[in-house]
Amino acid sequence: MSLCFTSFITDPVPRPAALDAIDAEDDLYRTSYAFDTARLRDSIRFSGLLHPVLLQESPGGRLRVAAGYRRYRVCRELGWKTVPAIFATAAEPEPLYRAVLLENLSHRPFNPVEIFLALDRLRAWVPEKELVRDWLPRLGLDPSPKLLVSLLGVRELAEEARQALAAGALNIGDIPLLLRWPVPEQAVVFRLFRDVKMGVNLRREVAANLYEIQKRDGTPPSAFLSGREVSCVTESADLSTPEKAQAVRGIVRRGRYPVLTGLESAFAARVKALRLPPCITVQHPPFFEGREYRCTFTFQNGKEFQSCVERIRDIRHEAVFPEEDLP
Amino acid sequence: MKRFFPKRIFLDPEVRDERLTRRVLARCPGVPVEAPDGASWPDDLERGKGTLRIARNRGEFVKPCPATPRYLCCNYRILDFCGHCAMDCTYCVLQSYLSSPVPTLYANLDRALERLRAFFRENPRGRFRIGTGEFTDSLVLEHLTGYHAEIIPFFRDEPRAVLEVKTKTDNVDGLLCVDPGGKVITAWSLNPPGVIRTEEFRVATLAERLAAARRCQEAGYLTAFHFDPLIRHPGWEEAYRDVVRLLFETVDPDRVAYISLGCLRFMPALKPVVEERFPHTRILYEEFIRGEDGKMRYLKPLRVEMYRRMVSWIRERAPKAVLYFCMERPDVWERVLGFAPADREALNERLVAGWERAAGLGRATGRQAPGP
Repeated sequence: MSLCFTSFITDPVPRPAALDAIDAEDDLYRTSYAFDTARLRDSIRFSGLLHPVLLQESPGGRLRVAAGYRRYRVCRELGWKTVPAIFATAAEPEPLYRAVLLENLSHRPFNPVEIFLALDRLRAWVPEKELVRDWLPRLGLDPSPKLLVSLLGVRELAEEARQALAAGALNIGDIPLLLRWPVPEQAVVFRLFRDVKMGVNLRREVAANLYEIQKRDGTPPSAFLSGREVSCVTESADLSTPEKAQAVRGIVRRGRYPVLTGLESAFAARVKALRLPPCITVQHPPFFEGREYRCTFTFQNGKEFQSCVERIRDIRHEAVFPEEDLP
Repeated sequence: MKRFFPKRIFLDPEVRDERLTRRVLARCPGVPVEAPDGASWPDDLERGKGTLRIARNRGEFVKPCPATPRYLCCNYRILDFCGHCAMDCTYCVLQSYLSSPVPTLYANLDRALERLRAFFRENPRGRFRIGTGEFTDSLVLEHLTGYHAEIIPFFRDEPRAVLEVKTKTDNVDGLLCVDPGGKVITAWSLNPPGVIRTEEFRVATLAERLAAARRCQEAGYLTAFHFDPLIRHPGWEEAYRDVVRLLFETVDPDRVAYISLGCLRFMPALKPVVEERFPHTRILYEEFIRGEDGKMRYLKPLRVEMYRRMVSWIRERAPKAVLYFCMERPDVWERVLGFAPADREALNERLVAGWERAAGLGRATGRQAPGP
């Protein structure tokens, strides 16, 4: 299929088109989402419009933007009455859309929401296999069916989360995490991510634990996170943002694994009571499943070695780990 | 319980003339039969479980249980007569363990018996518990295949082996007219009615299973019961206590060879499969940790708590019952029962002794199940 623009353009000579005649809501060919027009505005204000926009007459008689939506928006914001335009005709929208999309991809990266919009539009004409095999790589992504499912999930995403995704505050991997919930709950979880600036791995862990708490107890994130414990952390003036993120993680993990975290706390308290120097550590087996508890010490010289041995000897009679208490 | 009849049969041409094939086809009149490479071959479990494939087992028929390291195995041997199951339990490991979504019956029964004979020749010492319920439910196809009714005489004549038929059905009619000769253990996996309702589909109810167990005992079969998987859920204590009460109100404890306990466990790969197929289930969201064999298990103190309760309830009603844990750590054995078998052979001996005691052979030989 030819994607040559000239095959759609009736007259290559630009002529002014009235901005009032253009339907701003008609997004048939739009590829942009959440864009920053500051630099483009500066350019157009001082240098004028070098490239005319591409318009097409819609069946209702109004004009729609086929290419140059951002230019059109800026011209409108600058108070222009007309915009230089060339005109395209296309019996079917698909070939022109493909041409516009490829032209856009040739000169700018797409954010994940724009990628979703492109895939969602193409889906009407292109089989899923072709979307994965041909279009995901064109959009700069791996040809993964799972990735396609994640991206198409943007449709169900809360608007706040969409904007964060477009701005790079969330990534594509966050989409399935949030889609576990209806939009209002997504927004709650997203705000938590945003407010305590959780990193990717932390977001994944916290979202999984919140989801599983809901599955187990029927408590949605909005109810779980409305507790005083969480607000004390998020509103704390004493904690740094990373400390808040870790504290929230701890609260959610305690909610998800109350017995395990209880054992961990009790064990940590017993170790702390030993008042060991930093060179001596005591560890429990992973998840308290095995039977191998571990006490290690490190030293750099004979004096430190002697000191560690003496400290261990000092505590040998303290019944700090009674057998019946070890899981 | 409604008996399973496949909507479609996929028949490998090479087993067309096997007597097992002919029997199944005769008992499924009107069911479309086609080759397994046709367009209607199902590609998912939803459609696959309504069908049946009849094929040749090209691999080994007698296999050791796929045990995992650091957890004590009971040395169970498997007679692999069918892969996958027409029933549908949320927690079933076969969902991620087997690649084909279609229950597949191996029709080369004579080859199975031949391999069993070879197994005993190659293993001239020891006694063996051989079961058919590892990769499928032993009896879900019995009304179509008559498989167990046909292999029971083999075990009746084999002095060093007992056959364990493990099921969640009440599909025992075909067995009742066969003399087990004290060499067949019919075993049921048990769970409370609430768990059966939400987690086990196309299975017999608890009452149906217990009634079938009683009928089997009355027909001379020994019985065993598997509280496996034990599933933590709100009210689990009362629910499982009730199951134990009902069990011993229905069956004769002296004809119970052994009872196993095993908490829910699964490979991590199973979780997304269950989440997709059974979004309603809550059983995946208890406190699971990754065990030393890579399987997800309840945190050890939770397992110990469940086992202690179960053991005390069972002991109240069947003080002599031989209990064991399926794939548990020796230290869990110690904590709950006060001892741990030295190894899988020792555990197998314990269970063989349980079988002999229930069969009335233990008194004759003076054998006791090792351990308390």
